[in-house]
Amino acid sequence: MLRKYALKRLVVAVPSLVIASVIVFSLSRMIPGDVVTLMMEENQYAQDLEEMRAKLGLDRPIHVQYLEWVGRAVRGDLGSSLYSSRPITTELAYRLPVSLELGAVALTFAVLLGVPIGVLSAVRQDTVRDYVARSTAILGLSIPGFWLGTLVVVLPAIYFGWSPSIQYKAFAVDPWGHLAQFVIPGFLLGVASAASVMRLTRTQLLEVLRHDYVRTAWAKGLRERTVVVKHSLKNALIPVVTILGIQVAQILSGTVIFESIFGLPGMGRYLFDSITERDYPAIQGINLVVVTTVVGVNLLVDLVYGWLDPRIRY
Amino acid sequence: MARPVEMELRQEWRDGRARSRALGRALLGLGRFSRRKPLGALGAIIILALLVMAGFAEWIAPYAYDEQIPGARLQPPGSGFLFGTDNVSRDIFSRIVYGARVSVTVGFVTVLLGNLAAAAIGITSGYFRGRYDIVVQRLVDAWQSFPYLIIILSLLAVLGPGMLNVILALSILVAAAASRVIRGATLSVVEHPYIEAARAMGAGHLRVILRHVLPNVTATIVVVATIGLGGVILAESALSFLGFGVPPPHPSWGSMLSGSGRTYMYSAPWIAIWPGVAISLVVFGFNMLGDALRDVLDPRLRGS
Repeated sequence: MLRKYALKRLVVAVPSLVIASVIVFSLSRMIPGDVVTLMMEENQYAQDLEEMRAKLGLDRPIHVQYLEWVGRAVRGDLGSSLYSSRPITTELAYRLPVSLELGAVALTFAVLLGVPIGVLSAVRQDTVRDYVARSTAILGLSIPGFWLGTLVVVLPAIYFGWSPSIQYKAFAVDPWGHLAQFVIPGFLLGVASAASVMRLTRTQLLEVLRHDYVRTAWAKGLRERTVVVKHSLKNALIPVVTILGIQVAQILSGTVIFESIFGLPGMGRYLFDSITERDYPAIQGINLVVVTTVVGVNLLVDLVYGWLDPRIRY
Repeated sequence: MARPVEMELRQEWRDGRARSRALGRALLGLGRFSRRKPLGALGAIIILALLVMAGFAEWIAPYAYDEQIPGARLQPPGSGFLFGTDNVSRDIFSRIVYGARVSVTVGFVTVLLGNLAAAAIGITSGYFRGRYDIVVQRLVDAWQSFPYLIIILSLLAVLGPGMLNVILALSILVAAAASRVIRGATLSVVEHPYIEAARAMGAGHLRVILRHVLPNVTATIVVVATIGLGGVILAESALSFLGFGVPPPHPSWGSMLSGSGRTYMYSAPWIAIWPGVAISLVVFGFNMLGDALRDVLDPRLRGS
């Protein structure tokens, strides 16, 4: 039964990935002609227009280009960067872990903040604490991350003469400093996700708390902690797992901003630099890796969802 | 038989009564809304202030957005300049007021374009179902699996920066996300017997969609659009912050936080503070109003 469900989810995920790869592939087909000329002249990526077009793969029939590109990508070859001439896979192998670390810290903060506050807000529905928590959550969704990041760098420097380091420390050189440098950007990146998690936890728990079996639990004379944590929370948290999949995409968006502000050499920063350098093969490579990560995580989330909740079979 | 003049007067009186009654009802409705949803009303007030700032920027702002005031470099807030001045002697308050224009333009145009497309995609997808629905939904899935900032930056890398391209790129993403919700609402509407009845009476698909489905999903569209506005304004500010939004010297709240001003923030923190306050307030306003509208107009969406 679970296998059939897993197969169904796979059948949904694979076409998404194929279409997404077509979108990524189309990016370089959309470059205006004058930009190709600029790439040749300003960035000196090629001697003449013919060579430039060949480097972008624009000189062959479109379906051939796509199949070749996908074929090589599946084998782990994303082509070479125009800027550094190194294979894009090599460039990413260094940068992807940085973004994943940052993302993991952010996701951890999102869950650690979002779930407990959501539970408190639901259990004490319509009290002052609930209102404060809900308003704070909407505020958390409204404050731009790049502003928070800027303030965290600027304000302590003014008032305490201290500011978070924006010099990257490699794990091999300074393991403790390496981990510590992710705490502040990870926290800031996790705030918006925590707000989403909190809101969903609250509404889900409110719904579960109205079920008959919860009333039975109360009627048996169980303590509030047991009713909420053991009986209700388990069921309420199942949909929260799904939103975590969506949050992964959100958080990856945020890495572009936070890696730029905090000087972390991750994938978001690499995307930004590649855009500045008009390094389109690199831009495509980053997009493909990112979208594969998101589709993969969501597939995993769906499978976990089906395993957690045997009622789900669609 | 009343004379013509008398009838005319009577008609006028009736019209007037009807008008004032309609106005009264609207005011009553607004009053009830703000009593039931105080935070939603607060959001509406913030948005109203935003619209006024954007519409009457010339009258509200004491200086032009690119005016360099002689001898007023890096003035702190208060000293004749409400929010202080920046590193090239421009009045920050005036730039915030003009910046509202960028947020409002990008926000409303994007949401309008995006939601028109979303309504067309979502309603047809939910109404016709079948193979068409499956294909459309896979396309939407594909768009939604991109982190928004990454795909939009990549699109802008190809299209080039600028307001029009930002609007186009953001509209595609808005359309994908909103169409999902509108499709969901359509799916539940088409289950109703009146749709079947309309079809049985010989109404064509277009007529059923426009007369029976659309009016019943309008509430959903309004709610999705309101919450979407906050998201779009936030996205525009992030793009401008990264240097891909509206080009200088036009002030966008996002770009006011980046660029040459960044090195001066350590000595003049007000450069960093006000644009962020403006973005947060406006997005907060749209989120609050959207939440309140959802509870009032479309309880089905609660918790989504």
